[in-house]
Amino acid sequence: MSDLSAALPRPVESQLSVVTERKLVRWVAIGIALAFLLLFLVLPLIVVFAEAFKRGLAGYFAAFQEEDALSAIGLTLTVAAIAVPLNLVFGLAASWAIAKFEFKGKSLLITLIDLPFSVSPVVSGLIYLLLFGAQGLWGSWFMAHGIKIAFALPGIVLATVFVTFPFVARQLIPLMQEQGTTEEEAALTLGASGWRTFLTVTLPNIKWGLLYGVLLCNARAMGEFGAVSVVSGHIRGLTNTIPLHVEILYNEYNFVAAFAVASLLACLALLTLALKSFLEWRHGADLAGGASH
Amino acid sequence: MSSASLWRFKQSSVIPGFGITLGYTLLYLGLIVLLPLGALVTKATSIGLTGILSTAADPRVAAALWTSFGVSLIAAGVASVFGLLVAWVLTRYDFPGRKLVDAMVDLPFALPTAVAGIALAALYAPNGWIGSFLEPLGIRVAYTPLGIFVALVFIGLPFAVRTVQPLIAEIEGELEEASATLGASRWRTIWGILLPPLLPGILTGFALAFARAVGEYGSVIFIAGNLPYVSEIAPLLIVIKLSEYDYTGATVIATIMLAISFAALLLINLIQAWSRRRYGYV
Amino acid sequence: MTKEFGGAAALHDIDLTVRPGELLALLGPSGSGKTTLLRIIAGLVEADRGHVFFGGLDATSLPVQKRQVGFVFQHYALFRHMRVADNIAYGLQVRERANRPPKAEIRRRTAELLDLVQLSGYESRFPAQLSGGQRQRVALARALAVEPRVLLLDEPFGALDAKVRKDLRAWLRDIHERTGKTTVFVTHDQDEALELADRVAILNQGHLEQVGSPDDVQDHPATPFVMTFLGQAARFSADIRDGRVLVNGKPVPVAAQRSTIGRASLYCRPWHLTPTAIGQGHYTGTISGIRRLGSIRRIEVSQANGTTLEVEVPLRTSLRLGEEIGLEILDGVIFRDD
Repeated sequence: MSDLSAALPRPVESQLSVVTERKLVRWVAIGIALAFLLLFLVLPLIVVFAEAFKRGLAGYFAAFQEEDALSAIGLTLTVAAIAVPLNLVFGLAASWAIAKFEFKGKSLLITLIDLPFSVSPVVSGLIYLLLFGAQGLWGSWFMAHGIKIAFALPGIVLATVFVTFPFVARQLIPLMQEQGTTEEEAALTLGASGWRTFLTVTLPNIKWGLLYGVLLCNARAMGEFGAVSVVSGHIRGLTNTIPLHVEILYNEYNFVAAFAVASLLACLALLTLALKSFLEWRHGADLAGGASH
Repeated sequence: MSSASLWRFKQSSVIPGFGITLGYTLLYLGLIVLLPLGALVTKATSIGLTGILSTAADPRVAAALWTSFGVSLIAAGVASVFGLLVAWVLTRYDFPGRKLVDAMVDLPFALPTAVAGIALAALYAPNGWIGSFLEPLGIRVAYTPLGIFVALVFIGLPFAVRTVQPLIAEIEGELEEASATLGASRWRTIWGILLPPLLPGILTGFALAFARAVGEYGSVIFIAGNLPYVSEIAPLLIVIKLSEYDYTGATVIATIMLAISFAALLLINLIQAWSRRRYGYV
Repeated sequence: MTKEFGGAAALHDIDLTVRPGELLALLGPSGSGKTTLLRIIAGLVEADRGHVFFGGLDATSLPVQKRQVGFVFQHYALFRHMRVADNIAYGLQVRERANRPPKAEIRRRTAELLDLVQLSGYESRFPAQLSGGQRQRVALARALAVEPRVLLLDEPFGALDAKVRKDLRAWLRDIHERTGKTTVFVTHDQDEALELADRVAILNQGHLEQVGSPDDVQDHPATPFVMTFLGQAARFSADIRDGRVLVNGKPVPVAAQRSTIGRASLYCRPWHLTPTAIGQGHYTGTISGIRRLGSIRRIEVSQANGTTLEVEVPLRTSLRLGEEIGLEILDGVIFRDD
């Protein structure tokens, strides 16, 4: 009887072996799982900071005195500042069209939106080189008109937009489908315009899901390595993002600096995880089923 | 798109904004995703099947593809097994710090791959925290295919955990009670009643982890050592071909990789459709 | 067969004996502890104190796997990845090799049970391909397959719609007669319990209020709770004096139970009351509603203080809405106030 079990102290049941394993089995399973996670998740995270601070605070901060490091940080922020809003607008448009209307070919459209997730980052970079590179389809035309796309900021932005393409849409589509259209229809019958309905009815309902999607989109945009690596051309101080700068420092055996710069990205990841967990804990019901990837 | 044809493929609705949002969606999707992917397809078509096969037959390319797919398969399998265990422990048992551990599972999603790559390389290097323990045992992880494996398990783990976790949470308590009242032992209940419905989820997680592992670049290249014929992965070979301005070679490898990851995706959809048809759930 | 319980969190000192071969209903409002009691019998929940006996066997420390009970769950708990036949055979398949019947025997028993629950031909379907009523029957066949000492059903018709519910009731009664299996089922539906069961055990807030045949509990309710739970009842304050029951100073034709003097409550069903002229009878009020219920009418009589009670009158009645009338008490059940 479900209405009773809520009032009953649960432990009475869990002492029985009916619905769980013996205590010893439980703790062995927990032990193995935690040991595995420690080995594969926690240690890599700790080692980043341990290596970064190997030569103390001075050694750590020396990594950020370099002009190249600062320009890498600047470029990463610029790229994210362009790519994330682009995908945000797209995500809103796509989820509105898909969730609020019934039309043919909808599931194909959803599959296509998900496509970038199943493309290797390196291939994501490659396809833009095939378009805009020196030997690319349109490369010579753009070059003739003095527009640099590959090995320049536009190429990096395009590759980043590609790899982060589905994040916002993917978060919003199931959420808006779950919410249906009745609230919007109610607003329209009360005389609100379409735009006003979106701003005052739809947006408040999806704001936490939207934030969640933007958060994941931003983390990936700032951390993307493979795709950006292919289109950037690795021009120091010009087309190096933070992850590319980390690679260069590491390959130059400048480990402390590499890990120091990497620790910035690790902090970003931890912040993302913390905010994500907070959103799931505080607003879990408003995030709908499509939580993780 | 004329409004007349619009009405035919779309059910009528009072809600405004269909034309503009769908139009923008298709335009943006076309420009960002379909056009560039189309460029790849165009290039691949111009090379032709025989051209693709002859490039793929190149020993170095073939070795890289084998390494990528072989290690990805094993890594996805290991990630699935441990992912199931982690998901089970996180959902069914209570222990201090459970919430924190649950949040940590997403770390490989959030941590940039380059950072994961150098961290794993530092850990498993012969003088690293873990590598120095393994070295006396004669096990070398860094700069060998084993290193690739470690990185790919790291990358695949969240997929394996997150696809089965909701399924475990949804198991009705009545099922295990029913099995017990019918006389089944706890192990029998786990193997016969609780695990089989999780199988579609486990397979989906495996396919997702595999698809991701095949294309993975950043977390692998630092620990792999990138020795041609031994520990060189296919994505790295694309980068090498590009740096040699061999767009054709890069395109061939990319095409093969894309074909495989789409096959993995197709497999996922088939598994889910089959499961839904048969048991009424995914 | 005896089952005694010391209270789990929701049950208090329950002593209940289920007779061999009978169909017993555990009836009570939600939260009364009826499902907990059923789960204690099955071994799914452990009682804090007390014992469970099957016949002469003390089953208290017997784990659920060894109790050999047939439990039908509220939502059936069918194994969705197994075909109907595999679901039914499961309890036999999981036995240790020494006790496991041979394959042919398992197949024969499965076919027999499918026939019993009228689902022959459905053996290779998956549960997802069955209707609610069919799933219920598979769940019952699965529980019967292990030849249980007792069959336990938790809200067996709770998840079904009204029509299917009615059909299955008659069918369950029929199955019970054919198998003769001692059966306990939990329900919150009075009609279901009274219609189906040989005896009804009524629970309230963890206490066993009364056990008896449907006639017993309806004609001689042991407590005010049983009286009000089984149907509509109006309560009157009464005095007991010299072995007579008085309401508002006037005697009522109800025998005072083993009591001489004191305050008491008199509970009356709508058919225990009849209208009379104003000033006569035990009660005066205004008619605030008249409704037709099949072949009779029910009138609502209200007093200025807001209390309303219902009275049954013949279909043809001269009473009109707003009319002031008196009410006479013809019968009722008296409980001493303590």
